[in-house]
Amino acid sequence: MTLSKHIESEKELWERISQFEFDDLDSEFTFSQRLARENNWTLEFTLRVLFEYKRFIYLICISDQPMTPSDQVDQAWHLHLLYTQSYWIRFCKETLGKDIHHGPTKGGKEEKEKYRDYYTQTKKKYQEVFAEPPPEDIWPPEEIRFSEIRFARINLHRNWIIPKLKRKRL
Amino acid sequence: MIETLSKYTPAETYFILKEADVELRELMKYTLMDLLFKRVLEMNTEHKNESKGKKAKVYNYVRVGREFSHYKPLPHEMIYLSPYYKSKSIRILFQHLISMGIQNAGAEKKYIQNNFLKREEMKHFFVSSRFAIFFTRLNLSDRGKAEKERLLQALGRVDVSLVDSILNVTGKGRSDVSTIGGNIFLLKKARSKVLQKISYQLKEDLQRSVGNYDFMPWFAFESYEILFNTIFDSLCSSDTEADSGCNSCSVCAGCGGCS
Repeated sequence: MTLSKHIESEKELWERISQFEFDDLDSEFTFSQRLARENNWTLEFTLRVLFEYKRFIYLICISDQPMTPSDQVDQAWHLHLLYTQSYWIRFCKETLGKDIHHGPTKGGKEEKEKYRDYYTQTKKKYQEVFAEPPPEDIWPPEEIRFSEIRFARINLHRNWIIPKLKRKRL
Repeated sequence: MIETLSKYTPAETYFILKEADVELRELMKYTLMDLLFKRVLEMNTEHKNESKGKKAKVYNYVRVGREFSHYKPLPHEMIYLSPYYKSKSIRILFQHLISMGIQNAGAEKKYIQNNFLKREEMKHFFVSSRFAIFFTRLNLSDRGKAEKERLLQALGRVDVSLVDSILNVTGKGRSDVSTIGGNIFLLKKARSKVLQKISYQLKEDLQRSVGNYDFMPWFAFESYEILFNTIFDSLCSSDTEADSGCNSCSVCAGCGGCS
C-alpha cells in the first residue's frame, strides 16, 4: 500500500491491521458472508467495505482528531463489535494495542453538523494518508451520507422489498 | 502453427474445443489459473494462530501481481479482477475470490453469452441463429471447426515438443512456453513438468523481490487447481441460508451478551 505520510511504527501498525483476518475458515457461515447477507451486498462489495473498514480503523489509530465512518464502513464496524472475541481481544488488544470504542450520535442538529464535519475531515485525512481518494461507492458525498440514513430490519420471509424510482442526483 | 494458441486465453481455447460440453467451473478455473500464471494476480500463504495451543490455520491470499498495472483485461477475466481495479491494495482470500467469481459470473448462459460469444474474435466461430442464441446452444460454424482443428494440432505438437525441451527451459522450450501462455493448462503430457519448472521460477522471483515470501510448495499451480476444484464444489453444494444468527453461535453461550 502507498502510505504517503507515515513513520515506521505506523507502517508496522498498518501491516498488522491489513493482515488481520475477520473470517474463520472452519466456519460454514463466515463474518464476510454474514455482513453481505445482512446488508444485501455482493461479496465483492462486502470485501471492499472490510478493506475500507481496516483503513478507517488505521486512521483512528494514527489521528488525534475524531473520525466518522461512512454508513457502509459503520455496518462492518457494528457487526465486528458483535464478534466480541475477534473485536476486543484479537483486533483491539493484539493487533491495535488499544481499545477503540464506538460512539453513536446523541441526535439533534448540533450533533449532525459535528459528525458531518468529522466525516469531511476523515475523508480528507484518508486522501492525505493513503494518497488516493476514498472510493465514492463506499464513502459517498456528505449530502448522501447524512440524508440516506433511514434503515429498517425487514423480515424477508413475510415481506417483499420494492425499490423506489431512482431520484436524479444533483 | 503454435502461434494460433497465443491468440487465446486457456478459457477461450477450452471454450472452442468443448463447444456444447463447456462447463462454467472449467471456464472459471482456467481463467483464474491463467491470471496467476501471467502474474496479473499472485497468491501467498499465511499461517495464523488464532489462540495459543491451537494448531495454526493456513490462509491463502490473492493480491495484484507485478503485471497487473499494465495488463489489459479481457471481459471474462473481470469476474476476478474487478475488486482489484477499485482497490488496488486489497488482498482477498482464495475461497472468497472463487465465491465472488461465481457471484459475478451469474448464470452460466449469461456468462458465456456476454463474455465469450459477444467477443469479436469469437462470434464467427459459433452458429448464431436466434434459436441458438436463445438457448445458448453452442455449435461451431465452419470457421469455428477449422479453428478448433488448428488448436488441436497446435496443442498436440507443443505437448510433444515441450516434453523433450522442458527439462532445461532454454531456447525453444522457453519460447514455446511464452507463446502459448496459460494454454499450458490444457496440455496433457508436458503440463505437469512445465508447471513444476515455472512454479520454481515464480518462487525464486518472489523471494528475490518480496523477501520473506511464504509460498505454496513447488507444485504451486497443481495445488491451486486442486484447491480451486475443492472450493468450487463445496460452494456450489452448500446452503448459506442455514444459519440464523445467535442460536447457532457457540461464542454467545459464555459471553452473556446475547441472552
